[in-house]
Amino acid sequence: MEAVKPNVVSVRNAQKSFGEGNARIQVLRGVEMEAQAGEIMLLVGPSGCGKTTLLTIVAGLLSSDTGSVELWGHKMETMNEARRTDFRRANIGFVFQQFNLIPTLSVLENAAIPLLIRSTPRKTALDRSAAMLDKVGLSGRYEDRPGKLSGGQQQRVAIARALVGEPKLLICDEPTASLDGETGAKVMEILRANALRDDRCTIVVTHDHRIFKYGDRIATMRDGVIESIVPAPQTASVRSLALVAKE
Amino acid sequence: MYRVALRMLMGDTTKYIALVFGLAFSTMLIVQQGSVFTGLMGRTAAKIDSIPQADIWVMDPATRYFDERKPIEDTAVLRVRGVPGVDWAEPVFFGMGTARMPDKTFASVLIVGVDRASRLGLADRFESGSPDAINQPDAILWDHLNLPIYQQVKVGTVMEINDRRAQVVAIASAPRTINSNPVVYTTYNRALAYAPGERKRLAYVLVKTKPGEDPQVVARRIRDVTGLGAKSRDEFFWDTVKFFLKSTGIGINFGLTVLLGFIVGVAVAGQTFYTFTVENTKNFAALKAMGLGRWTLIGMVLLQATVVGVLGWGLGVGGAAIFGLNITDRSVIAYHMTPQLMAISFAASVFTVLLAGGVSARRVLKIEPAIVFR
Repeated sequence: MEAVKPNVVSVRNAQKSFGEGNARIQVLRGVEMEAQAGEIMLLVGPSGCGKTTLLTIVAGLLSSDTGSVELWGHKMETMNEARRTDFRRANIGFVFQQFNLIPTLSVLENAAIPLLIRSTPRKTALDRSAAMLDKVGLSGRYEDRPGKLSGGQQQRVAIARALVGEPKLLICDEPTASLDGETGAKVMEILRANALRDDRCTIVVTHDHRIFKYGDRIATMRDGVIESIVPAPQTASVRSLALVAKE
Repeated sequence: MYRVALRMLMGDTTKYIALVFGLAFSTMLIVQQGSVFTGLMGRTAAKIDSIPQADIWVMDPATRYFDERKPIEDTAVLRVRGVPGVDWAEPVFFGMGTARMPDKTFASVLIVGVDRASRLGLADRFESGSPDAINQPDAILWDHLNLPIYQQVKVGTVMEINDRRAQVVAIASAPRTINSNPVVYTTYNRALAYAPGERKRLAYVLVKTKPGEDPQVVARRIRDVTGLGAKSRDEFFWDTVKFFLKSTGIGINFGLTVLLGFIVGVAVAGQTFYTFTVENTKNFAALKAMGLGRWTLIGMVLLQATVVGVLGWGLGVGGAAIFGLNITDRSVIAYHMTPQLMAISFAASVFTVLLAGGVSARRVLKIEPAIVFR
């Protein structure tokens, strides 16, 4: 019998509105969601259904108007901004759709940023950054500026940056949206390998059905609520590839 | 992260150079215009400054500044010599005259008559001829102020000053004054002969105090004993400068230019730096999302602003110094770069940096990290 995995993320009745008066738009209308350790949860749905808003609330970048968001049992809404910043720094990694690499820094420095933010000694940070870049297949590109890399390579730098601090929760916003199918698959394989560890949880917002097979569960959102959460279609080959990548 | 802040700043060379040069230009304008201003102000009292041997200047009590000469009686010299604390006292004549130039044009000249023996008040440099020839009949020393129209006068030129014969025996070069009249040096008695007939013709008595005497105390003693006006050299220098500042509008006019430079600098540097921050909004937002604290963010922005400020100030001051490299107190351009000017321009740079950095830091703090998902 498979052991029950603990919840990393627990969202209860989260509601969020933007704007005032007649311009007020309710984006989240009582979201209920859980994400567990060791899984990749894919969050899908049509544009404007509230996926990214939910992601920002889970990450502690925004607060919900009502309801609660707990990460490992810590209530995000009870934390002030400074505490949430500290919490993010210690526990959460991000992969953005637009990569958000700093163009004037080298690839190595970009990937080391989460460690530098944590005041890790520069040499240690750069060494770990280099090791992570090796893992995502970017050996020898350390000193390049992001502008010299392809979209897929830039996203791999972004993933290296997200993973270098070994975050327990990885939040990805459309990580394959700007990538071709093959590159997108490579990116997801890296994320899959990371997610296999039991102390990790990954939430991926995506429109890209080609990557559904890399998830464990798929949560479908519509009109500000989670409509369904179902197991993702899995293939043996995907699993085995991920296991190889982990090794 | 401060290293990252510097890399963010310097990574985009074009913007970085624009930022630094914006502030450098502003600093240079402030220092350059300020130096011209202090140079001009210094020239209003250059004749006082050029006779460092005299500790005290004795004059008519109503005299407010150097060019406002109300002659006193020749006997004033003897009366001053009798005041306790006076080491020596010599007469000096300053007055205007009209010289007929070799090309038959006329020039208004400043006539300086110095004591035949001490020669106090004579120029300190000579391009040609000898100052010793001043004792020859009709001898004058000519200072053309480096102005080409007056350079037609050479050693040996014979001219008329106030219809009296004068022969140039040397070409002198003294620190320039605010006036652009050529200067004629001659002996005190010959100067009196050139000057229009007046009952009193002595302009100033130059006084050296005895060792250990305070010039201000001796000046007060001279005033009490003789009833004449007497000021220490510094006092007379600053009275003259202040008079020009108050009465000519030079201070306001240059002040406006300096202010304009300051405003342009603040606007250019501030705007450029703010634009730099705006363009980095997403980067700062990503850093905030990844957990960068507010104080580190403020520190990063202020560090960037400080680096721009210090470099811009240094380049600006350097540029202003290069501008003044070949300008001397004899040049047509008045230029005197002082430590005070550098301090003022530094304060202006600090203000610019604090303003630009403060506004930018405020914006960075207000950035919603959630925008990284948009």
